[in-house]
Amino acid sequence: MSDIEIGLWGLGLLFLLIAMRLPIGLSMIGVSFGGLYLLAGWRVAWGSLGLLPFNFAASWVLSSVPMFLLLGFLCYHAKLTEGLFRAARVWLQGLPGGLAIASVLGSAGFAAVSGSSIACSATMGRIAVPEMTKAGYHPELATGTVAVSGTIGALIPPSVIMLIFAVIAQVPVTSLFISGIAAGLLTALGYIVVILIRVKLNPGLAPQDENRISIRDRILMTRDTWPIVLIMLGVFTGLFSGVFTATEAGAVGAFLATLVALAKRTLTPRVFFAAIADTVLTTSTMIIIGVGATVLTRFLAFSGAGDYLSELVLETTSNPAVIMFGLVLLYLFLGLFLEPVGAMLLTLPLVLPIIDGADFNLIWFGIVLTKLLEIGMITPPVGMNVFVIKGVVGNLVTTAQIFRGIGWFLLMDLVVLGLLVLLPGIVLFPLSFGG
Amino acid sequence: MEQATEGEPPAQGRGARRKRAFARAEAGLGWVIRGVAIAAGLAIVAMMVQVSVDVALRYVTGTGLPGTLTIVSYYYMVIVAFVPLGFAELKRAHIQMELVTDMMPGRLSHLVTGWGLLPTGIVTGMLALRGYEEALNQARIGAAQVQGMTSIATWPATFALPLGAGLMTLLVALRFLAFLLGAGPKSRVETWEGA
Repeated sequence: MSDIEIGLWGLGLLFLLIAMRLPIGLSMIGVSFGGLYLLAGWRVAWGSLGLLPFNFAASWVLSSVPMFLLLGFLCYHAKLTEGLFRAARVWLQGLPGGLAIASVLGSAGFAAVSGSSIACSATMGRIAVPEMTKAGYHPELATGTVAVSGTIGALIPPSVIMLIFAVIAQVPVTSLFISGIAAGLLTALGYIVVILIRVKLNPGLAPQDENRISIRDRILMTRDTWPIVLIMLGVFTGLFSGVFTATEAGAVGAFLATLVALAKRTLTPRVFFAAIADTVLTTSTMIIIGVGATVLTRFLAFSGAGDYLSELVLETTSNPAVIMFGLVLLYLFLGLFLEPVGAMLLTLPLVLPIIDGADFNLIWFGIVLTKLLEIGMITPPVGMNVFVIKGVVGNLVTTAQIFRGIGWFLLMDLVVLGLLVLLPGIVLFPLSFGG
Repeated sequence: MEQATEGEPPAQGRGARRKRAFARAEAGLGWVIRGVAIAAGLAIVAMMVQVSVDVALRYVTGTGLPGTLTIVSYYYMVIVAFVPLGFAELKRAHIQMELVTDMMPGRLSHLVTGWGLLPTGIVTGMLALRGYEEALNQARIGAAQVQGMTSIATWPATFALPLGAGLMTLLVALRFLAFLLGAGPKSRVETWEGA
């Protein structure tokens, strides 16, 4: 068997093991080790495992991942962000589907302190769905809205997906974050348009609230958003003025969140431990996949299978539009059944050389990739956001109903995705200011 | 307290005794794993506090806490990454693709999942062994990082991987043995811990 064949068989075996429900990161490590052993013998394979995991984890850039996760989980468990939704709803009362629009905006606000779409969906699901159903909203619209809005959490910075992409593709995190804002806001705007259109066509989906709230009361309710505004200001000004690194922004944000939760008396030991445990588990399970991706990259390079596959793609077509279209299809497909970080780390060792060969802008590709992976969070059969919403709202709706509620939003997501792909300027323009 | 599976009469005989023995063994190992995972929780809290204090000090006095970058990267991160590997297995939190096994008939899914523990355990066992060897090596040469004027020993943190991967290997081995002897949970959803 030639070296390239060993590489290709290795990839095949890897997908088989993953399909058999083996942990993704460990499968990547095991297959790469076996492949390196066949290619270069025991000493090289055994040696490759040595300091590699340690060196991957011991990274200052990567240390921002647990800090941003902690920030999001603290806000979720200590219920710091619920004021956002309440404030948005009193101001949007007059609009058709006002409550649903409020939950989109609430998610966009929460996205500014949360690095993951799961925390974002869970937070809004817990608070917005009961209020919407109480107001007579159709459960499919209510749950569908919060499930899709959660995806804004990974687009508007901070974003764990972008952080990990930045580490692997070696691009500046802040540039990705700045570009993510536009993509996140565009996504939110798209969802709002969908809600307006749907409610216009079928007003029964979202009955209008007849109670008018006075301006004074509205202002009073808006005051309850101070915790999130304070944390957001701390994180964003530090990060984008260049005073803080990403890790520092995350740590200071989490510290502020702890203080705010203490002041609001929502930080019980139980809440604190739950946030810590979630952070620890999420970080550890992601990093072992990152280690796997690093060993896999080495195995693919050693066997030549990585170059072979990327050359195969680039020889077949040098048309960037076709390559991009293929990548879009690939990630939409993987998103059907893989979790985003797993899908990303599994494919980047193969995809990055292609991106490089096609001369794509890596920042732009990172944003499009994040959007694609987030669409995977809401597509059946495995849509993590949907499962999270189902877990939060209980027996109110079935999983199938939530997926149905997502349908229209999914169409809009494809429109937004098309805009991001065709008009890179949408995400890249903020980078032209201030160099 | 000895618990029978919900809906079944209290089980008798050798099979049931064996099942209870495995349940107790996993519960015991689970406590060790949880105890060790506390180190990772403390590392998260320490990371948050130390980085925040570093930023505040830098703002007020112009110089931050010495060694923060090294300690965060080479200690806290490594501990958070690797020490909880066993804990993640205990909580069944490792990232996996469940779609294919979920579509299989129950018995086949049980078999695939059970036999899957073998390669999983081999990989974690290898990581533990190789990690331990490397950690001893690092300790012998006294591996350290130089930040500014000080040198910070980094070798102690290299033991995080063998510790976490080792505990995970033990747990996976125990679950595999229970599976082989027919003393494990019937499906992957059912655990001895409950929720």
